[in-house]
Amino acid sequence: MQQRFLYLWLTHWKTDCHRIDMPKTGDDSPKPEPVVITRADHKGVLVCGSDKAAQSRGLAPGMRLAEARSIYPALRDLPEQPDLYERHLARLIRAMDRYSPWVARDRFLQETGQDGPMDGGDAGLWLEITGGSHLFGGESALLELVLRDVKSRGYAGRSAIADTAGAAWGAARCHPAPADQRILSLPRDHDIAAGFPISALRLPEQTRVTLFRLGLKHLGDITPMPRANITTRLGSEVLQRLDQFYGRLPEHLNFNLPDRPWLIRRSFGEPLGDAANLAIAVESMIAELCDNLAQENLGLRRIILRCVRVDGHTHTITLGTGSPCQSAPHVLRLLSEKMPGVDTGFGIEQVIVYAPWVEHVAFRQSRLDQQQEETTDQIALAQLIDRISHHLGPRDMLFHPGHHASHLPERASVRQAVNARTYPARRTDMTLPKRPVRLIDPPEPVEILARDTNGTPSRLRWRKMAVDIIHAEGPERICPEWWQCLDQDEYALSPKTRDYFRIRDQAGRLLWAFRTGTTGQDIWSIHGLFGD
Amino acid sequence: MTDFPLPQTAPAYAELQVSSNFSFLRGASHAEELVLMAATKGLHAIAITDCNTLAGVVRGHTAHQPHRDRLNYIVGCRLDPVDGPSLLCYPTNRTAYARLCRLLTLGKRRAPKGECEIYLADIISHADGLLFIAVPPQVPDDTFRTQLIALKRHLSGRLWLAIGRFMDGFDSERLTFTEAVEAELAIPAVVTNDVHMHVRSRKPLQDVLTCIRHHCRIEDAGYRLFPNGERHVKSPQDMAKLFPTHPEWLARTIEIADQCQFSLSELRYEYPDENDGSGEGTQERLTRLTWEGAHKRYPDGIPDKVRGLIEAELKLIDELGYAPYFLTVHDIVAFARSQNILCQGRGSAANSSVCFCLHVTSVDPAKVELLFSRFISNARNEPPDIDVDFEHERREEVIQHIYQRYGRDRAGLTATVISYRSRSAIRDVGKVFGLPEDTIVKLTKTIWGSGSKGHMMK
Repeated sequence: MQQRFLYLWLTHWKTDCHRIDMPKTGDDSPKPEPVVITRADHKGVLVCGSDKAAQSRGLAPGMRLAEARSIYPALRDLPEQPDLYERHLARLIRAMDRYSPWVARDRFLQETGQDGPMDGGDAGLWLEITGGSHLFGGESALLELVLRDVKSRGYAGRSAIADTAGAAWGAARCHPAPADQRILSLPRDHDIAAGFPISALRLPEQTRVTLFRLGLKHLGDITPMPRANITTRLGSEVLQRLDQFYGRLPEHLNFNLPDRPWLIRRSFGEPLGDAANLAIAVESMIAELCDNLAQENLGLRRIILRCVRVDGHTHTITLGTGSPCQSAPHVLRLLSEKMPGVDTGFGIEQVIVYAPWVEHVAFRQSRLDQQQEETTDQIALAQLIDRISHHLGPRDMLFHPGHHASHLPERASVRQAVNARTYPARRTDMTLPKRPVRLIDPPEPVEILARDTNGTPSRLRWRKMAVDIIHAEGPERICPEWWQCLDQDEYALSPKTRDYFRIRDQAGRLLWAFRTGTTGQDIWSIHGLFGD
Repeated sequence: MTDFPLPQTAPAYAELQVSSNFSFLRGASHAEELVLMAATKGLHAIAITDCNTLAGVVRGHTAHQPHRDRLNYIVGCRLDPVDGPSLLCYPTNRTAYARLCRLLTLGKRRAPKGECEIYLADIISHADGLLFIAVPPQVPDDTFRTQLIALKRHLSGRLWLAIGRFMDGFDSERLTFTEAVEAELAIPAVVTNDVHMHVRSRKPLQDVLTCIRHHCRIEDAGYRLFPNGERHVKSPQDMAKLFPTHPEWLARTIEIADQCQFSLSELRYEYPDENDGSGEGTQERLTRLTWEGAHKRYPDGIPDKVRGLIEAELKLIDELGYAPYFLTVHDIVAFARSQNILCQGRGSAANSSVCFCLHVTSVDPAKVELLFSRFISNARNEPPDIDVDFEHERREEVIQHIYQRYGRDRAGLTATVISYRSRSAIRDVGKVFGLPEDTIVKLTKTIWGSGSKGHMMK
């Protein structure tokens, strides 16, 4: 039987993912502002995805952000979030299950490019629909259905059906017919295929450009050529892709079948009526799951517990861990905080435990001397982080301050996501000037009551209290960062330049104060307190 | 009421630590700007002390000439030995200057191009007549103290310790350290301001240079940048305000400056006398060779016009004492001709009938109006200039001949100091700001010409 493939091209994948996750702003503005996705690399900031509005203004992936900005200054840019796209794609693949169980993701888009992934911010899926389209009222109806489904989820897409994966890939991009007519049956539609541009083949940019320069612009230009000549001039890839297109070469697609269902389902003849029994059941199931995982050297990053009541109502608990975990007590401990929310009602007849996200656990050699290991601490820390973050809510609530190299005290620390495997950036071993551990944010202006001969305060009012200064040490002069403020001419002694002093008051406190503004009109503020 | 008695007289200050842009990617101002600023601010003296090089002092010297009566100019250099602290180094006289040059040559020969490998032992062996200021690290530590003790043993009486208030948060540490060193090691301290720019507003440029040096973007530069723009040329009043308790540290700058009496004006061309040992003077020999050549050039008799020209030129050469120079060129050209190496002379002094007669050039003064006296005259205080182009494939033979005749320690190839051209400058600055490669290429293409004065088209 002739195979049939449906290719779904998600044209503005990354921007769509961001847009879906963005909070709705009430009214949809008629003219969407252009948005680009960016990624910082060693050469600068790269645009690696753009939406329709941006593309219509000529802002294409592969540009530098500065370049895109020069075309459209008010451009909105979002940093790339690979895990967001991954999450959306996984969800979409699951949703596509209803059209065909054989769904494969298009990895070509992520692979091309000379230096690193040079994807265009799009994504693609193959559905093998051989012998299945009649269930949906024929191929044309299926195409329409898939597109409508995808669109209702908020993704822009184009799709096509063809005999091979390669042809479907090309047809989705290049088939001139309207959306529900993009169907290619090869011996019959040979003329249509011959009219496809070269970009219908999955070839690297460079090869495409070479072909174009040689005047080979359509598939029909290549097919009659002697095969040996093409290989000598352009390498084997062109022919390989061409053969895949016409089905002369088999193509292997990685269908997204569950690797190994990390799922345990248990049904109870006698519904579980109270929480204690439920807890026992869950405990044994978690232990089994963790055991299975441990055998494969895997750890779970997410676990879903689903309790199905006799009346059909389901209660789902989803938990995540910060690092791959295979310890049943830890999972149970996390679960136990949410279990009281489960209403057993008339009884629970089925419990499902499922780990949708597992990761490899780095294998660790145990120490010969049976001593307490550092890794044990690390695991304990990871577990603590999990517990705290489950209490606090969203993961970014929990952070640790890290060091950032900047002379400006406010910019010298950054929030870093907590992860047991990464440690906060510390101050380098360079000798750096003394800084208080905590800054007062914002700095608190003080009133100068009396001054020393050299202009430093000898008595000031801070927080409605008079403070007598017995000693002032400084100044440490810190200029604003000129590349952030544009009044460059006078910046080096601009009113924003701060002179920091360490001042000791009568009570023994060591204050960190700074002076801004010009002489005579100087403003003093307290920026911190030293611990010693 | 002030706690500290102000000095009775106006403070005087000489800036002894100045990095011009010849300290590549460190100094942000030209030596000319620095000298001019020093004169404007009323400094007693300024020393250009570039890192392991004397390349910047020439520009400073030229810029200093109009301000000779107000400002002293000190030739100096900052030595960064491999095994010790940085030392500022000032020759007090000509022989000391020669030693310093020799020391730098020694260091540069050891290291790959552009670098310098000097050891403390080298410095000490070349130290006669040189004054030194030890430059402490940002936060002086025990290592530095130990190094100071070692230095003091060899350079006693000629060693000072630099102290600066850069308002970088370590002023008090340095002050304490310096006071302790003065008291315990008896090394006197002297104020320097580690000048990297002539005015504060050069700080952005200085930051960009720092980024280029560290190959990083401006946002990532962090502590590699100076926290402020204090390292500029400051007036004596401003400097005095920074050190109210130690007027003697400021006064020592004057002491040191006044000891450094060496000026680049003392340097003159020292020409090898081209005597061949026959007892014939150089002028006589040149005259003889010229007339001999003239007879060969004009076998039918020397035209009157040429005869007059030759006589006039020989007289001028005699007055200016350029005879040895012409003889040198003649010797080299004669060697080249004897080896059948093609050569051709050009340059201001080459436009002469003497050169024609010596077979250095082939422009017949009888046929072409020569402008010798226009280029070489008493009024123009410039050395004569004859360029000789040799067949490039056999150039090496001529070079070897010169080495053989004058000795390897006396003949050398000219060295050039590489400086930024507009295009590469734009390219590097673009990188610092994280501009995309394409934009940088587009920007560099707007530069017209390749020189340092390339113009940017709007």
